[in-house]
Amino acid sequence: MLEIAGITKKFAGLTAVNQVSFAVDAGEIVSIIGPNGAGKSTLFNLLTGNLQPTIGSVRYCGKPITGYSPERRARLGMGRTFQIAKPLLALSALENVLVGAFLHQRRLADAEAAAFDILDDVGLADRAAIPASELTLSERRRLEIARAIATRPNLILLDEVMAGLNPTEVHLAVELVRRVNQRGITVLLIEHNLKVVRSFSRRVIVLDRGKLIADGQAESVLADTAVIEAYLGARRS
Amino acid sequence: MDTFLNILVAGLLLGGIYSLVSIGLNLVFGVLRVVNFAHGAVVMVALYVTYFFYAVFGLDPYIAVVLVVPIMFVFGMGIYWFILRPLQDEPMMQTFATFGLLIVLQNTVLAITRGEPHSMNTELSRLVFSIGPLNVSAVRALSLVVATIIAGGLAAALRYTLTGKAIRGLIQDRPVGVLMGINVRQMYTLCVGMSAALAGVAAALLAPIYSLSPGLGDDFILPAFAVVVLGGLGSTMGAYFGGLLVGIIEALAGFYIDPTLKQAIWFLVFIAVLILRPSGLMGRLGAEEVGLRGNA
Amino acid sequence: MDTAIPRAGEADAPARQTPTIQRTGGPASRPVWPHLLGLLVLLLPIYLLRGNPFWIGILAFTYLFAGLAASWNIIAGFGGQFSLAHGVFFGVGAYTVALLYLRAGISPWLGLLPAMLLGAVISALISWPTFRLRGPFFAIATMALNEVAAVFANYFDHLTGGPRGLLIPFRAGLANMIFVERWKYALLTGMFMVLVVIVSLVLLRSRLGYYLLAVREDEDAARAAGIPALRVKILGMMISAALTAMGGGLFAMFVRVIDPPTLFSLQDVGVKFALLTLIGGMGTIWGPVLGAMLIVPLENFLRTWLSDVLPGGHYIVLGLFMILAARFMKRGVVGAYLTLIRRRRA
Repeated sequence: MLEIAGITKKFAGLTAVNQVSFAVDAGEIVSIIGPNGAGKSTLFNLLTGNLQPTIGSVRYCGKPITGYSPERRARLGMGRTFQIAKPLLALSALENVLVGAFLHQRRLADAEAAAFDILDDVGLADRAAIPASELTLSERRRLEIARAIATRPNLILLDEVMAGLNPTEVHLAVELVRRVNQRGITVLLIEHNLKVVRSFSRRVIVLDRGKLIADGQAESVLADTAVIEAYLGARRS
Repeated sequence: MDTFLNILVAGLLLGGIYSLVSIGLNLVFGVLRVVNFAHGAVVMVALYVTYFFYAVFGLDPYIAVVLVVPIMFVFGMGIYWFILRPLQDEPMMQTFATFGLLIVLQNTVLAITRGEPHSMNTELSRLVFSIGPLNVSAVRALSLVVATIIAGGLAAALRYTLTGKAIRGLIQDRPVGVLMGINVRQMYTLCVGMSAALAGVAAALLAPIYSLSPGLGDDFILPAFAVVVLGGLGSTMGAYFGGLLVGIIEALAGFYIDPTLKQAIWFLVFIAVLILRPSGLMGRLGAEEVGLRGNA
Repeated sequence: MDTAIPRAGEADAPARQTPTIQRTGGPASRPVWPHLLGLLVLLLPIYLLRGNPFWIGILAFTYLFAGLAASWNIIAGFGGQFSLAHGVFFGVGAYTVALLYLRAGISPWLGLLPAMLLGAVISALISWPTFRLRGPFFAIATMALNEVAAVFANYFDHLTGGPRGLLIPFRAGLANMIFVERWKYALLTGMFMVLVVIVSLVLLRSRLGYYLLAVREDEDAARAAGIPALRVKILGMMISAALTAMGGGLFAMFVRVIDPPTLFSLQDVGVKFALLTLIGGMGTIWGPVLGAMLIVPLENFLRTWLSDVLPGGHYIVLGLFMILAARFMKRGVVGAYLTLIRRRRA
C-alpha cells in the first residue's frame, strides 16, 4: 500500500532522514519508534507531503506521490493526525469532524450525519456542540482521529496520539486505534510507549539518527541488542 | 549621463530620508514582530513638535532636536504601554490598533492646526552646492549623512553593547531570549521608545525639506514598509540599504517611466521581493515565521 | 450511508454506555427563519424614515456599508485573511458601473454584472501571489495594492477622469438607477445588504463555508483533511470581491461623483469595512451588519456636528474606537453576546 524507497531529507548541514526504505501492506498496524531526534516526525512529514524529500520516492497504492501536496494525499486516502493536536479551536467538535466529512459528502445534512456517527464512535457524541477549545487533551486527540477518519482514509498516519495521556486514556486510545484498523484502515504510527507498541503492533520499525536500523516482528525487534542500545541507551543517558 | 547621475544622487538623498524613517520601524518590527502602521504618523507628530519649538521659541530644528528626541522617546513608550503591550501576539488586532492610532494622530493634528500648512524654511533649506555636474541640496545631504551615522551606530550598538545583544537575541529567537533572562517588557519599551526617538531625529532633518501637513506620514509609511521588506526583518543595515535602494528606484522610475507611476513601480518591486524572498535582501530570518493566526 | 467504524465485537457493545445520541444542534438543523425575520426588521426604518431626507440618506449609507462589511467578512472573518485591498474591488465596481453607463449607455442594473465579474477576476489575480504571505505581510501587501490602484486610477485619466473624477448627471429613472425619492436608494442598498447576508448564510451551511473556517483555524490541519487551502481562499476572496464590487457600483450611482481619493481611501473604505466588522463581531453573520448599524449613523452624526467645531473630529472618535475595539472587544458585540449566552447556559 505504501512504499518508501531511499528517502532522504537534508536540512542545512543535517541529514534528518537518511536513505530510509520500507513498505507497509494493507491492513497492517506498523509502529515507528526511536529516540528523540531520530527523524520520526521528519519522516512522517515526508510521507504526508508537508516536507519534500531531498532524494527518494514515496509510492501509495502503486502510484508515485512524491511531489503531491498534503491535501492531494488526503484526497487519495491518506489521513493523518499531528504531534501537537491541531483542532479547529473556534469550531465545535461536530464541526471539526464535519470538515473532514465534507471530502466525500457535499451536502451539509449528509456530512453532518456522517460526522455524528463518527463522533459517537470515538466516544465524543456528548461533546458534539462543545467548542474544540474546551476539550481535554485526550478528547482533542480523539477528535483529530475522528476528523481524519471522516475523510475515509485507507491509510492513517498517527503522530504520537498517546503522548501525555493517563493510563485509562491510553487504554481508550489503543482500543480506538484497534477499531480503526479492524475497519480496514492501515495504520502507521509513531509511538514512544513501548508497552503500547507491544500490545497491538505486530510490526515495528526503528529509526536512529535518521537511519532505519530495524524492521520486523515486534517481539524480535524489541529484543534486538542494537535497538535496545539505540533506543534505551539514548534514553538512559 | 549627467542627468542620470543627478537622478541617481537625488534618489540616494531621498533614500537617506527613507532609511532614517525605516530604521525605527524595522527595530519595532524585528524585536516586537509588530507592524506599526502609525510610524509615519509618529514622524509627522515629531515634525509638529519640532515646529512648536520653532514657532513659539524660535528654536532652529537642528537645535530643537535635543528636546524633541526625549519627548518622542516618552511618546513611544506610551504607545508601547497603552497599545502594543496589551495586544502582544495578536498581529491582526495590532494592525488594527496601530491603524486606529494613525487615524487619531492625523486628525488630532488636523483639528489642532485646522489644516493650515506650515513650513520651517531655514537659510540652509535653499543651500545647494555643486560637485562637477552634480547639484546637491545641503539639507538632504545632511540627512543622508546622519542616516548613515545612525545606521552604523545602531548596528554597532546592537552588536557590542549588552543591551544591544539582548535586543538581537530577541530579534533572533524570543523564547530563547526569555529563557536567558532578558527582561522582555523592558527591552520592548526601550525599542518602541527608540523607534519614536529616531522619528524625532528624522523630524529635525526633514523640517527644512518638507512642508508640514497632517497627512505627511502617508508619504513615508508605505515606502518604509517596502524598505523593511527589502532590508529584512529587524536588520538595521538592511533597512539602511533598503532605504537607499527604494529611493533610487523611485527617482529612476519617476524620471524614466512616469512620475505619477513611480509609487506603483516600487510597490511592484516590493511585492515581488515579498513573494520571492520573504526574508528580505539582507535578513536571515524567515518572514513566514510571523504567521497570522487570527482569533476571529 | 454508513461511515461508522464497526465496533470491536458485539460482546463489548452492552458494556458501553451508549446514551441516546442527541443529533440536534448541528448546523444543518439550525433554523433560517430568525435570520430572515431579522433582515425584515432591519428594513423597517425605510418605511419609518421615508419622509426625512437627512436620515433616509444616512440609512442608505448604513445599509450599503453593512453589506460591504459583510462582504469583507466573508474572506476576513470566515477565511481569516485580513485584506486591506477591498478598496480595489470597491473602486473597480464603481468605475465599471459608472463608465458603462456614461460611455455606453448601459443601465447600471446590467452594469452590476460585469462589475462583479471584473472584481472577482481582479481579486483572483491579486490573491494568487499575496495568499502566499502570512501575517502582517499580507496586510501590508494588500494595503500596497490599494495604493497602486489609486495611482493607476489617477494615471489613466482618459478612462477614469483622473483626479477630477467622474460625474454622473442627474437623470432620474428606474433604468438609470437614479431616483428623486431618497427612500428608493435606501431600499436599493437595503436589498444589497439582504443579498450579502443571505450569501453568508448559505456559505455557512455549505462545504465552501466550512472549508474557509477550517483554513482560518489551522491551514495545516485543513490541508490534512483534504482541503485545497489556496483554492478555497481564492474562491472566498472572489465571492467577497464580487459583492464588494457590486456595493461599489451602487455607491457610484448613489453619490454620482466618484474620484480616486474617495474610492481608495483607507480610512473611509478599505479599513472601514474592517472597523465595522470588528466592532460587530468578525466571522459571524450579524457582526458586520450590527457594526454598521452602530458606527455609520454615529459617524455621520459626528461628521455633521463636529465639522465646524473640530475638523476631522469624527475620525478621532473612529480611531479611538478602533484602538478600544482591538483591546477590549476582540469578538465584537455579537461575540460578547454569544459568550454571555454560553455563560448563562453553563
